[in-house]
Amino acid sequence: MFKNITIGQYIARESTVHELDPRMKIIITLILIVGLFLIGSFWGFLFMAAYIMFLIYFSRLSLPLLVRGLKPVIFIILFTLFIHILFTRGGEVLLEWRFIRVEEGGLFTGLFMATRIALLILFTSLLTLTTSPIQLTDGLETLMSPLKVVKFPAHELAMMMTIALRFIPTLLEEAEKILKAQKARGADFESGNLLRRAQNLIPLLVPLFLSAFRRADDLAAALEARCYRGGVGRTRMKELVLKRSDWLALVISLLVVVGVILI
Amino acid sequence: MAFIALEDVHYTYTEGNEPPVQAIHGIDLAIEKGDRIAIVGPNGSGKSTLAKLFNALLTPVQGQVLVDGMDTADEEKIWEIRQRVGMVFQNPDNQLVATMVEEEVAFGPENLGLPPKLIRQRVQEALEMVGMEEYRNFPPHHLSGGQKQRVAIASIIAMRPQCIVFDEPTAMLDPLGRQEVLKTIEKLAGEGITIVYITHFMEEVVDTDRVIILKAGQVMLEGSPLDVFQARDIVEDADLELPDIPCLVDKLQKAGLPLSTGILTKEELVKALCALK
Repeated sequence: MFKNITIGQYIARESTVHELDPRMKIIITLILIVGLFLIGSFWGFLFMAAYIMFLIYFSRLSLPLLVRGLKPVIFIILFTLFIHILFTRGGEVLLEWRFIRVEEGGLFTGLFMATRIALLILFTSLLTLTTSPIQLTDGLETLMSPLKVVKFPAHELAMMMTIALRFIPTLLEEAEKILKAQKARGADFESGNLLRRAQNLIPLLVPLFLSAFRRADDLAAALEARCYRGGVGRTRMKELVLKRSDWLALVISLLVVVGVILI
Repeated sequence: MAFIALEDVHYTYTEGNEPPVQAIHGIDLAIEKGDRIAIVGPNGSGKSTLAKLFNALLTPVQGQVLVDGMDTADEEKIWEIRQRVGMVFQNPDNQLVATMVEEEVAFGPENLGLPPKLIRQRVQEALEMVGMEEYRNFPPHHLSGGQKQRVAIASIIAMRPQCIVFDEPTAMLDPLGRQEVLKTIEKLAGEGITIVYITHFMEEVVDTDRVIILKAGQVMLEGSPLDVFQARDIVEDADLELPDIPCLVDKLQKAGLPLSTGILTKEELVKALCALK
């Protein structure tokens, strides 16, 4: 029941994109997303789509794999498309039948929006597919660290994410165990309506929460015993170093974004 | 002066409106550098509380604990104390923080603020010490219980402590994992690290220099494993069981075999029995 859940969906490969600095990858993704929202022409989108194909090629991941990531949002994409086609006005009337009226402006806006969302998903999933969760957390921590000046808890946030990532498999395993134990006692998790099923989850959730609190207590003691006292005065074994390829990737991406906006 | 010295230590748990529970009742103890001692006792005897007093996770309500001359009640010294006295806990899952073995071992040295290069070197050495170097890129949940516990030990070694307190490190492991952990501890003792080993398995105290039996927060008996095994009534009074070999020797003696009382291991018994003919 819980075994198939994968978080972060990182796929390890040895590729140029995988080896880029996580900080740079996050920045580039943000730039590309901003770019996506500033594009206003058909050629712009085409160029952006070509750029993501180029990136996928260099990440040595398969295109179908990334396209599969679009599945959960396909409804949102189609919904946006149809709403715009039916209700956005402007330009020539392309089709008129009873109360349905499609105008040129609506069709274009719809198509643009749909492509925008699809590309947005592709760019972000390319980031998570090529960056391990731990690298992602490291990257986020260093990127957010200037915010410490305004008392933003960058280190604590990253630490929380790391601990969450560490304990997700442990807690899933535990949930599985409790589930089996409760089933052996005759608990029913599969029948009844939605409300009934939610109620039946209580014998699973109560022990799970209890043990999670106990774990938290133990972990706190273990962290303190190893001299953990927050981010102050801490060093890192793996320091992030920007390489020439990172800067190259940034420059190329910036050029692409400026290009697609100007077209 | 002893490396760790406890002077008339008392500890009481007070939580909310519940009546306070007195866990430690006036314990005096001296642990020298390089000692290998075992603390045994039944559940609720205060073993884990005592362990947490050694590295300032708890501070005594009365009396004092000195580590290398530093008082654990001194807020400014606690990080130095914790660097000197490392601790391995019972549950292997609940003491690992990182998502990768290597990062886990690096966690302690990172907290000490060491330069990255030195951390790398220490991680390498610590992993070699516990025989886990080929697992450096594994996530902890893909390891067995014994392996996780070895990683926990490595992450303490990487901080270069002078003493390691083991709080029932084998209680949640299968026999194989237990063997792995005990062997690792054996190796650490060989390196001259002070070992404080807390357990309720009497057979695990055979190799130690000194055994302390704890009951209801008080020291019932302190002595060599041999002394302890001979004080059967105290052992049984503390709800502990004698290990198999001394128990067997005891029965054989009662049955009339002229065996000497100093026999603690299987090998010694075999030798003694063969010599009887």
